[in-house]
This record gives sequence, C-alpha cells and structure tokens, in this order.
Amino acid sequence: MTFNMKLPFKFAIIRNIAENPASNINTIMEKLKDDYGSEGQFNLKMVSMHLDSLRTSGLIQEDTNYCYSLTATGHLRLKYITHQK
Amino acid sequence: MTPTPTPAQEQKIIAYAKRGLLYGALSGAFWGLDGVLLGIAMTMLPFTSPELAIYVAPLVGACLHDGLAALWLSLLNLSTGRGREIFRSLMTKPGLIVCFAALLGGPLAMSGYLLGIQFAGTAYTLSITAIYPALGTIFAMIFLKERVSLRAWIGIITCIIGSFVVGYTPPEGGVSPHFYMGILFALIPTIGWSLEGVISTYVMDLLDPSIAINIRQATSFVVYLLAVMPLIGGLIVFKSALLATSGAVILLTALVGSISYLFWYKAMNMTGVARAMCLNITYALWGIVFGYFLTDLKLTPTLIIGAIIITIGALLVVANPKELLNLRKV
Repeated sequence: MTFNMKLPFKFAIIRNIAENPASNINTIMEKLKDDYGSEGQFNLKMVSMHLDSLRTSGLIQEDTNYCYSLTATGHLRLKYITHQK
Repeated sequence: MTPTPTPAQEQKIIAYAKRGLLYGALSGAFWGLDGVLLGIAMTMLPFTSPELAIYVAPLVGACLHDGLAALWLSLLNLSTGRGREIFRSLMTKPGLIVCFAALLGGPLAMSGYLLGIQFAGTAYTLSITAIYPALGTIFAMIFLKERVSLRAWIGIITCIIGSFVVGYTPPEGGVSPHFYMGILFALIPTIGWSLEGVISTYVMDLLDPSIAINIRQATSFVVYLLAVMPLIGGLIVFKSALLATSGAVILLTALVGSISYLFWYKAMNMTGVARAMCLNITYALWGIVFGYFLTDLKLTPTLIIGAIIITIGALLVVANPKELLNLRKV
C-alpha cells in the first residue's frame, strides 16, 4: 500500500518557488491548482498571506515586478521539505 | 542581494507587520480575559473541593483548557478549509518540533509555575516569570537573528517593570524551607515560554500559524491527560469538571484562550518574537480592566501605575514602523 500524502500548503508554495524562480502569485496558484484547487484554503487571500509570511521570515524575496525567488536562508530551509509528492 | 522594495511594496510590508502588532495587542487583551474567566471557573466545584492538593485544580483546569482550545482551533481550521493541513503538518519535521515546543510551554512550564508558587510564593514566582519576554528576545536575537533596537529593548524592560508592579504582592511572612528550589521551579516557565515562542516562530516560517497552534494545544492536552493527570490523581476531578458548570465556563474560557494563543502565534510570525511577547504581557494590564468589570477587583494606585508603565513600554516597542521593514538579519 502506498501512502501518498500532500505537503502542507505553505511547504508546497515555497517548494514551488524553489522549482520555478521568478514566479508571481498567479503562476504559483496555477501550478498548485491541480493538487490543492479543491480545498477551501486554496484562494488568493490565503496564498498572499503565506507569501507575506515567507517574505517576512526572510525565506523568499520579492522583486519590483512582484515575482518571488528563494533567499539563501530559504534554500537552507528546504531541507525540511524532503518527502512526498 | 535583496531587491530594494518600491514605495508601494514598502507600504505593503509595513501594513502586514502592523497587522501583526495588532494581533500581539489583542493576544494580550484576550489572555487577560482568559485569566479572569479561568479564575472564575476555579472558584466553582469540583475545583474548590477541600480534599484537593493545592496543585491539582490548576493543572486539571489547564488540561481542560488546552483540550477544549484544541477543539475550538480544529473547528476554525475545518471551517476555513484547512482540516487536512493539521495531519499533513504533524507528519513533517517542523510539525514534530511544534510538539516539542508544546511540551516546554505547556505541561512543563505550568508544572514549574505551580511548584514555584508553592515553594517560593506567588510574588517571587510572578516576578521571575514576568521576565520571559526579555529572555525570549535574547533567544530570538541569537537563533532567529531578529533585529531589536535599543528603544525596543527599553520598551520591553519597561513592560516587564510594569508587570512586576501590577503582579507584585508583598511576600507572605516566613520563608519556605524549599524557597530556593521554588525559585528554580519558577525559572522553568520563564525558560519554557520564551523557548516555546522562539521555536514555534522558527517552524512557523514553514507552517501556517493556525495549524501550529492547533498542534500545540492538542499536544499539550494529550500530555496533560496521559502523563500529568494520572501522576497527580486528577482524572476523577477532570471527569467531574467536564460535567459541571465550571466545565462550561472553561469551554468559554478556552475559546477566549484559543483566540489569544492564535493571535500570539500570528503576531510572532508577522512582527517578530520580541514585539509579540512584549505586547502579549500587556495581559497584566487587561487583567485589571476585565477583573474590574467582571469580578470584585479593587483598583489600587499600584495597579494603575503598573498599567501606565506597561502602556508606555508597549508604545516604545511599536513606535517606529520603519523597523518593521527588515525584522531579521538574513
């Protein structure tokens, strides 16, 4: 039996930014739609809140075109995201 | 190199951190109300039973409080479409770290707090535990590389002095033979709460604060129920409290407490540990306000002076919005 659990949503957002640098909020949502689109938490407000939180913690940075990329600290924290889909 | 934000982005960052400050202030207000309501529940049966050892009632109260708070928070997360996030997060390393933080800030801190009161007295224990925001700030500077200005430090220390003034009651005559052991016990919650804040903030970099606090309260409840209650013989009191009027009061108190904890966690995540902890200890001030309206608390000059000192300290901590642009040296 395989046990294929999704990542927590905030994990998925940061991993998505790591895999797709210079993503903006719309492209991030597009990429995550297949996995999380059916969940109540999948909305612009929640994703924006998670992005603000990740930026405040210094894990991601936002350029003047409102695109996000990982910081050096963010890369270090990816060690916690090592499993599952 | 970190890109320089545009003025519009700067405004957005500051607005976000200011919202965190508001959460911090509200966490203090709700914690003040929580303390007053829990105090009311503790004056009811079965907690007033004369056969109970002095530490049983507060520990049973804390167990019920955290369990019901976990229930309220689960309802909140389910209603906002985050029910599955609880289990998903628990299966990750940060989720397990939250469980460890829960042990430090929950049963361990509470037990140390009560034993401190028993052996060293309320005055010394309250005074020692009131310094937890200063210790939390030091830990945050070391482990999270949080920036704390000199003015913010003065504000934090002012808040702590205000809490001393509000909470101080002259020590009872005579010194317990275990006085110094009591002082050591009082250090446990001081270290426990400050470490809980810093560790939880570290993991909330990756976890949703609403989920982190849900896991925290559930873990705390499970440890109280499976380890602390059998140890102190509290299971019978726990069961009878659940069915008594005091249980209903604690259900309401847990709602207030879960809002307070949720806001505290959100504030630490959004505006930094130092500011959030300083705003959280304004509960001493709010305890006076709610105590005045809901109980027979008499306003004394000491209480009013303490409240003014806390307000000044809190204002010093939040005074400069520009500091909110870069919370950490990363």
